[in-house]
This record gives sequence, structure tokens and C-alpha cells, in this order.
Amino acid sequence: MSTNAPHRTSAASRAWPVEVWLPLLLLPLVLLSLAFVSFGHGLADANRAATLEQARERWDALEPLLLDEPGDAAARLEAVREVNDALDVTRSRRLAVSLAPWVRWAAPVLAVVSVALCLWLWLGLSSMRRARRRIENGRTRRDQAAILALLDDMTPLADGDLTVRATVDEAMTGALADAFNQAVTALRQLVADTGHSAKEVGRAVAATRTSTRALSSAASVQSREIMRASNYLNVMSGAIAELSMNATDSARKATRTRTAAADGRAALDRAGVQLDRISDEAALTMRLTHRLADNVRAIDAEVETVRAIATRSELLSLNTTVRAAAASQRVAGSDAMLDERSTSDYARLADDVSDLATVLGSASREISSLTAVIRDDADETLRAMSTTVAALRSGVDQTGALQGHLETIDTSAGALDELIGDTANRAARQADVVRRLSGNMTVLNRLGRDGAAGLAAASGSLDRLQALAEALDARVAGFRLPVNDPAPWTSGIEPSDGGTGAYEEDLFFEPTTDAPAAAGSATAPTATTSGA
Amino acid sequence: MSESASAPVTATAFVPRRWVVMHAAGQDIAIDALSVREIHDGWQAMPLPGTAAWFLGTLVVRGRVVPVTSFDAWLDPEGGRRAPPFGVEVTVGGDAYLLAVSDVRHAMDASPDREADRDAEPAARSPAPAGSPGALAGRGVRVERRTIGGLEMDTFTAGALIAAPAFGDVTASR
Repeated sequence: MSTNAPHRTSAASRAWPVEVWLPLLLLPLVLLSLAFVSFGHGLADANRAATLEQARERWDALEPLLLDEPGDAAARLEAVREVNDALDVTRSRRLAVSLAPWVRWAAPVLAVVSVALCLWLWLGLSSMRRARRRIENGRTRRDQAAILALLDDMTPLADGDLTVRATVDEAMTGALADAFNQAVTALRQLVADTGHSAKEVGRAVAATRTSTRALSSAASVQSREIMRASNYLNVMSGAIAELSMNATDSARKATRTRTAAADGRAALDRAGVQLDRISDEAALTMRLTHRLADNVRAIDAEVETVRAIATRSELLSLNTTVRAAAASQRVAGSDAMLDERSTSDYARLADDVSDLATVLGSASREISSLTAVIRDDADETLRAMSTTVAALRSGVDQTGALQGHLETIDTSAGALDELIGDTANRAARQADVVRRLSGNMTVLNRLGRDGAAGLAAASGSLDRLQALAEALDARVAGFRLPVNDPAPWTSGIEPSDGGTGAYEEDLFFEPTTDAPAAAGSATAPTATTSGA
Repeated sequence: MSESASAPVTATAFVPRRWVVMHAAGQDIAIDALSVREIHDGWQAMPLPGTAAWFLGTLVVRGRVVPVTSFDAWLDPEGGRRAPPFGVEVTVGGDAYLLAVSDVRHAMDASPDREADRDAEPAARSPAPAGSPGALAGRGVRVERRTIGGLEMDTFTAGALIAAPAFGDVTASR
């Protein structure tokens, strides 16, 4: 607004008068003309000297030609012409020099003009310096008055009164007063912002301190759980290592099982061959026994014949006896000696036939008894051999099935061996991973402890920060602000809920005070919460 | 002469008699061998209708028709019709009869010493034969008890058998 006046005054005071800027304008032109004249003069002297040198050289070349009488006339004529031309050129240049006599006076004139211009310039500058000094004296007095007024306006600010405002006018301090007012406005905004920020910082620090304490507690629990997890991992590592050793032992047993299965298969092959041989022999024995039974039946048939003969002999004996009795009856009624002898012969024949029948009957009965025994034995042998052959066939079948089972056992043992070996390798790698994981858990535990310590330190720092915020708020409260000054801004910090222990519900393992058992006793952890 | 004649008689005082022992109706019955003409087996009688169950029919033996009686069924009518395998041909006055029995053998009388032993020691005698003792007498045949071949059994003669009324009536009503 009113700040343009001093600038215009200053510009006017800085304008140059004509006695300054005109000599400054003409002096370079004069000096440039003086230099041009001096240069042209020197250049003309050089041309003249070069032309004379050229004419002397032509003359030196013409002289032998003129002295040589038997020479070519045309060449001598040409040389004379060239000398003539050189002389014409020299003549023309001397003519041009003679036509500009004023050039010889230009340089002194220009030098005098230059001196005059320098003197005029000195006079103009002295006049301008005097006028500027007079202007500066009046301006100083006005500025002093304006400064005193501005100081009067700024004095309440020293007491913290931010309601003060400086008067802005066209004096030198107008811009300063305007800047002061802007600064006071900015300071008022700054003080208000600072007070509000101090309060917000206080609240935020309080919330952060609460959160930090909860975080510190959580870090402690985390450290404890990490320690427990590390212990569990140690137990797990031991169990996995034991599992790996067991798997290795099982692999060796599986290998032995395969060897035993192979031996058993070879033994079963031999047993199968033996069983086949025994089966063949049993079949042969059965055929022989069948033949024996058939022979016994044939003997029985013959025995029946003998028995029939015995029966017939018995009947013959009886009939002989009857005839003998009848003969003796007839003898009793006669006296013939021959008939008596004949009766005696009948009786003896009857006795012999009876004895023969008795012997035949006894022999046939004994033979029949023996054949019955043999038949029974043969039948019993056949039944036993049938049972034996069936048992042998079953044994052969079972041997075949057992060979299949042994092959299955061999295959299964091989697959089991591979699986167990793979399991052992995996368990070993897993044990190594678990050991490294345990080491990582140890590092995490150390980091957790360090974090807890850092949180504790941060809590102390927050205490100090809150004290500083309160002190800042107290100091800002000493400033006096306008009554209806609106809040510059609202804090984006939301008050913390101060949650403490919410993380406890997210734990996978029930936090207990007792440490997990040592690496030897693998106690299963207690899975409890639903957060996992 | 009479003494000389009586001397051999005294020397041959005991001449053992020959008997044909038949097994019928579960008991041994002996008949004098003099009454027997021949023992048969493998015979096949021709049955006659309207006759008793124990009468098996007739059989032609050496051109003569001989009646065949199942001695087992005759002695034990309750046992029904039976055809035993052996046939004992007996003759009485020129007539022949065939008695079918289960078994037949020959034997001789016991010595008088044995008879004395039997009379002195009744307990030492052989047990009574199986079947129904006295069945032959019950059919009206006169019998004698004798010890034959060490066994005590009923003996009879062909005449006594033919004289029994039950033997001659072969009708079915009886």
C-alpha cells in the first residue's frame, strides 16, 4: 500500500543528471574513433613499404636481362612491363595518401575531445553527490521518528501480549510494521498451535506410555513364551533325534528282515522240492496200498472158496459119518468081516474128512481174519495216506502261498527300508532345523528382552517427554491471546484404550509360571485358546 | 460060548453112538445118525400154497419128493418164516423128510465116566443150551437128555418126530 513512496524517492535520488550520462555516452565514441584513425595510419605505412620492396625486387630481376644482349627480346619486354606496372601501383598509392591530408590531424583532435569529456564527467559526478547528500539527511530524521513509534507499538510484546498490532503508514517503518504485524500473527498462531500441540503431545504421551507399558508386559510374556517354545523345541529336537535313531535301527531290522525273508524263501524252495518228492512217494504208496487191498480182496474171494470147500468137506464128513453109522447098523445085522472093515474104513474116512474140514475151516478162518486185518490196515493206511496226501498238497499250496507272502514281506520290507531311511534322513534334517529354530528362538528371546528393556527406557523417556510437554504447556499458557481465536487444528491422535493383557488371549500355549520340563522329559504342551 | 460071547460084549460094553447135532431155534438138538440119510446144502424147495409158515415146500431128492420143514420155524413159530441153509434128510420106514436147520455137525456120545461125573457133579455140567429149552418136547416129540460132545442137549429119533401130531399137520391154519 504505502510502501511504494519510499521506493519512488529512492529511484529519483538514484537518477543520473545529463552532465553525467552524456559524457559517459560520448567518451567511448571518441576513444573508438581515435583508435581507428591510429590503426589506418599504420596500415598505410605498411602498404607503402611493401610496394617499394616489391619494386626493388623487380628491378633486381630486370637488371640481368638488360645486361644480357643475346637474350630474348620478348622476355625483356615482359620484364620491363612488369616493372612499369609496379611503378604505376606505387604511384597510385602515393596519390591516395596525398588526397587525405586531414588524416594526419584527426588523432590530436580526438585526444583533446577526450580530455574535455573527462572533465565534464567529473563535474557532473560532483554535482550529483552533493544533491544525494541533502536528500539523505531529510530521510534520516523521518525514519528515526517512525522507528520510535514502532518501538512504542512493540513494547507490550515483551510481556507476552500477542494482541499488540503496529501502525502501518508510508514511513520507512511501514513495511517493518506490516512485517511485525504478520510476525505477531504468525507467532500468535504458533503459540496457539504450540499450546494445543503440548496438550495433544501430553495426551499422546500418556497414551503411548500406557501402550508402552502394555507392550513391555507383552514383551515380557513374549520373551517367556519364546523361552518356553525354545525349551519345547529342544525337547522336540531330542525326540526327533531319537526318532531318527529308531528309524535307523528299524531300517537295519528291515534289512535283516529282508535277509531272513530271502533265507526263508530259499528254505521254502527246498521244502517245496521235498514236499513234492514226499507227495510223489505218497502217491506211489497209495497205489501200492490200493493194489494190496485188491490182492486182499482176491485172497478173500479165494478164502471164500476154501471156506466153501471146508463146508462141503464138513458136509462130506457128516454124510460119511451117516454112511458109517448106517454101515455099522448093517454090520450089526450080518457076520461078514469085510463089511466090518469097510465100516471101520468109513468111520476113519469120516474122521479124516472131518479133520480135513476142520483144518480147512480153521485155516480159512485164520486167513480170513488175517486178510480182514490186512484189509483194515490197508484201508487205514489208505485213509492215512489220503490225509497225508491232502496235507502234503495243502502244505505245497501253503508253501507257495508262504513264498508269495515272503515275497510280499521282502517287497514290503524293501519299501519299508526305503521309507524308514528317508524318514531317518528327514528326521535328522528336521532335528537340525529344530536345533537351528531353537537357536533362532534364543535370538528372539534375547531380542524380546532387549525390546522389553528398550520399551522400559522408552517409557522413562515418555515420562520425561510428558513432563516437557506439561512444562511447554505451562509456558505457552503465559502468552495472552485474543479471546475469539479459533482452534488452529485438531489433533489426529486418538486416545489409547490402554489395553493391557489382550494379547494373553492370543497365546497358543497357556502361560504358566513353571518352565517346561528339561530336554529329557517330553511333556506335551497344553493347547488351550481358540485364538490359535 | 455064552461067556465067550459075553466077554467081547463086556469088552465092547461102551460103543459110542454117533449123533448129528443140529442147531435150530437157538438150541442144539441131536438126532441119531442112523436116522439120517444125507446132509444137503444149496437146495431150493418148491413152496406149496396154503401150508404153514414153517413148511417150506417139497424137494425132489434122487427121484423122490421129499417134504421140507424149517425146523427153526417149527420150533419157534413166533419167529416167522425162515429158510435155513442146511437140510438134514431123515428116513422113517422108507419115507424121507428134510429138516432145514441153521447149522449141523456130528458128535459122539460121552463115556460113562462122563455120565457118572454128570450125575455126581450137577454143577459141573455144561450150561443149558440157548433158546427155549424143551421146545422140542413142547411140540409133542419124545426126547432124551444126553451129554453129546461135552454138551447136554435133547436127543430124539426120527420116529418120535414123525409121531408128533404137530409135525404132520402142515396146513396154514395151525
